[in-house]
Amino acid sequence: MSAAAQGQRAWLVAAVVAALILPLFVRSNYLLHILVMTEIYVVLALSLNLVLGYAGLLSLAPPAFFGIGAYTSALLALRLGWPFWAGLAAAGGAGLLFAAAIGVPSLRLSRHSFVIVTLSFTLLAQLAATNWTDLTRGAMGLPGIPPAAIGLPGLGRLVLTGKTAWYYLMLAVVLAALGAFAALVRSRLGRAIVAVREDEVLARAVGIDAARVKFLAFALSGLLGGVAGSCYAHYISFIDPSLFDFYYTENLLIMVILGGAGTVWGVVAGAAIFNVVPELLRIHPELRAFLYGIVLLAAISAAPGGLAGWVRARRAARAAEPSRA
Amino acid sequence: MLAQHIVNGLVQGALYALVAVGLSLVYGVLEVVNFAHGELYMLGAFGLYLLFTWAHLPYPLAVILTVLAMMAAGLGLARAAIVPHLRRPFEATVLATLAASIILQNGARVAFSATPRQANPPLEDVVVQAMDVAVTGQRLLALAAALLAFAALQLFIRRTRAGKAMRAAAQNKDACRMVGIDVGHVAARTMMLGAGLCGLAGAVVAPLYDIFPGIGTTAVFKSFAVVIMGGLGNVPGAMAAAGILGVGESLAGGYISTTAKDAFSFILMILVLLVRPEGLFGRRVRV
Amino acid sequence: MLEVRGITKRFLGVPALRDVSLAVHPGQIVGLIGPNGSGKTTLFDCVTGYLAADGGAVIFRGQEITGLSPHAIARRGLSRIFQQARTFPALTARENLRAAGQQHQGATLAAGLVPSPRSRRLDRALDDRAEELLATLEIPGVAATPAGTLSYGQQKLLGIAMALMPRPPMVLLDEPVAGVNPTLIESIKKVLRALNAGGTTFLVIEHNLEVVMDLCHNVFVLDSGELIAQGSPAAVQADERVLAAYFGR
Repeated sequence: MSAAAQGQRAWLVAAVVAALILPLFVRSNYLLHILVMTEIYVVLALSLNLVLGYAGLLSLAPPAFFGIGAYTSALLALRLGWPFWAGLAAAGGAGLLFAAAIGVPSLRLSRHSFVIVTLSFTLLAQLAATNWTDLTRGAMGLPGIPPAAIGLPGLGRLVLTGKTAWYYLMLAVVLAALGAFAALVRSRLGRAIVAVREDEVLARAVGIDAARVKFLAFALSGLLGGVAGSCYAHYISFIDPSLFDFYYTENLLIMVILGGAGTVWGVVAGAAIFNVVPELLRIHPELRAFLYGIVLLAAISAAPGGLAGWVRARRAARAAEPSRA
Repeated sequence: MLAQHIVNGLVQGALYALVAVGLSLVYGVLEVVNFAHGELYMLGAFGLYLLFTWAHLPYPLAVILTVLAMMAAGLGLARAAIVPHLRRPFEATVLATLAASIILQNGARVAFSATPRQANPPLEDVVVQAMDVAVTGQRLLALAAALLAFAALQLFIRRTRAGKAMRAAAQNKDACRMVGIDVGHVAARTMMLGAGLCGLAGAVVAPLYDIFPGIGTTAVFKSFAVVIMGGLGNVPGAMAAAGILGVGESLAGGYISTTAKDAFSFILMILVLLVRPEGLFGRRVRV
Repeated sequence: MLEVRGITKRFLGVPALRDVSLAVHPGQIVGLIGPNGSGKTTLFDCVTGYLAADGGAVIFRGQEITGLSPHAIARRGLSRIFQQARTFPALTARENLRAAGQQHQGATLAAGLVPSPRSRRLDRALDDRAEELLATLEIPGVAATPAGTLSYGQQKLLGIAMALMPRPPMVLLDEPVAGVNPTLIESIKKVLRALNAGGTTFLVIEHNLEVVMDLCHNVFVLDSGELIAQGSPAAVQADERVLAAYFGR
């Protein structure tokens, strides 16, 4: 393995170790809560990253998949007594299905129509959650979602309450999601997705089925969004239609765009920074959203590649060859 | 009963057209989807509320001032979020206008709180009746304003130099640059026009309902449906689509349920996109 | 190898191609020339599935490919390069070539999700082939350079390399030497001749008539969407209709 790859692996190991021992140093329940929310956001941010950063599709649907996953998991637990893991799988499946359903008609549209349709889908999902009261109890929401429980053979059930338990559970989910994500982008599918983003015409000319590749990327982003939603539902134990709010969209956009769309670690860093900092500063949610809007606007103009893009550019500038053929 | 639903639908359609025409115009000329479009409508509504309901200015004056204020806002939005990104890939303008929408909606929430307000426009209690069909006075006023606005827009686009520059930009921006038309100026003027139309809509249509910072989201939802169905960039198409949407919604609401009415616009939009992705009235950009 | 039968294409009622027929036999280098706007690239687009022809058929290696999508046609062995040098700018040259070659190894998209000896072998095969092509096209040093930062000439060569990754039986070249300096033109000609000697068939659109005359066994001439002449380069050069098309009537 090359020196660079060895260095990267060392960083990775250090990061995982740090994440594992972090709760030992965190006293306050509130801080632990922020960390758990960050972990949930990382998974959701990966959803947007896959579709926007890697596939180059500006989809505003991830909050819809988040909400659909949350409601699926919550309803299965509340109405049918499904355990957390089953609900999680079902939520991912629901996200995948809805993404597939929306993807088929909308991916062949022009880019502008695509953005509009994905945004409209999120708005429609919110409408459905608010009005389909028989199923979702509308604006009253679904309270009392049971926490996650692991059945250990011979030892009985271990019910996960308390923020520390959730921190480790989510850490497992995050690491699994990150691992799967990294595997995906290094695979042939990952290469094909990026190729389609870079130049769809050329991609088709070299034999890539662009329509299928975009569809797969979009469907997988639905799966990730659904998984994140399920975790949220069981963690917070109460959900209502405000889940679908635009609020999540701008949070997501900031995390992914400022972190660096199209990279893995950039998005993780973005999710961490943009969750932890505002919470620590105790900014009121509406003011926070307002400030995020301004930051986003500034970032679009000044640093479209985000944090990761900036780092990459610095590295490239340092390594630039003096002569070229 | 049916006649009432249809008339309601047509009037509502005209109002949707007024709300949506700015969005269609801006896309038609600049190929930019202005995601802050709904917030411009919302600001127009709040502008009217502040001038008429709170400061007690006469209604016509309040409407005119609102339109002017919104034109200024449109200029500001153009400078901040659109002109800098005209030559960049389209994600830049989408994200920039999205950011603007976030700023405006949350700024309004911080400034005004989410409490719904009533504007109580002058004609809201007047009812006009003809042959079994009734329409409130304020709706008729809004309808009249919409029709006047459309006529004025047509005249402006066809007869004035600025209008011709817009049509040129709609067809080929690079050619404009080559003949000395400043595309940045055209962009700013188009945004001012679009925002002014939003302002008018905010001033005459929004008072029909409650006013609060979230009304922009509903407005943009409907506008998107109208613009997509009519064909992105096709202003007359958008108006026709608005009429269809208005009547369809009215019938859905009258004969099925209110939920059906709310979902109708999205469902119709998806159906149109499945069958004819370029919109009902074709994709050729027509301003 | 490639047979185009009576292709017609109209845009909004205006005919861009009128009943165009041509044939390319295995092992040939065939030229397609004509004044600007005569429909050459449009013909390529119809042949490779980017445009749906309004009439006619395209037969490749004995099978009809009319109406197939571009990626299906590419997988059957008909590669193409574009008039404007196209690459995947954010990817390195090596990654560009990997992306170009991976569709033709008979592995599914899922290969490589879980690293296995087979997927590693496939990737190594791609990298070896990539190195081979970069060396042949005399741009060996750019493997790790992002394609977007390469010079125009290098991007053109990379485009040719991408088309050649799967060892295709036939390649359509759209103006391979346009915008390229004279030394590079000679290199490209050398490469094309060598590949042709190895069995690759070419159909080349070119405005550089010197290159066409030098390289091609056979030439077809398009003007305003119609085939007006065909034959050996010398014959075509002397043909009155061709001269009229280029230099006015």
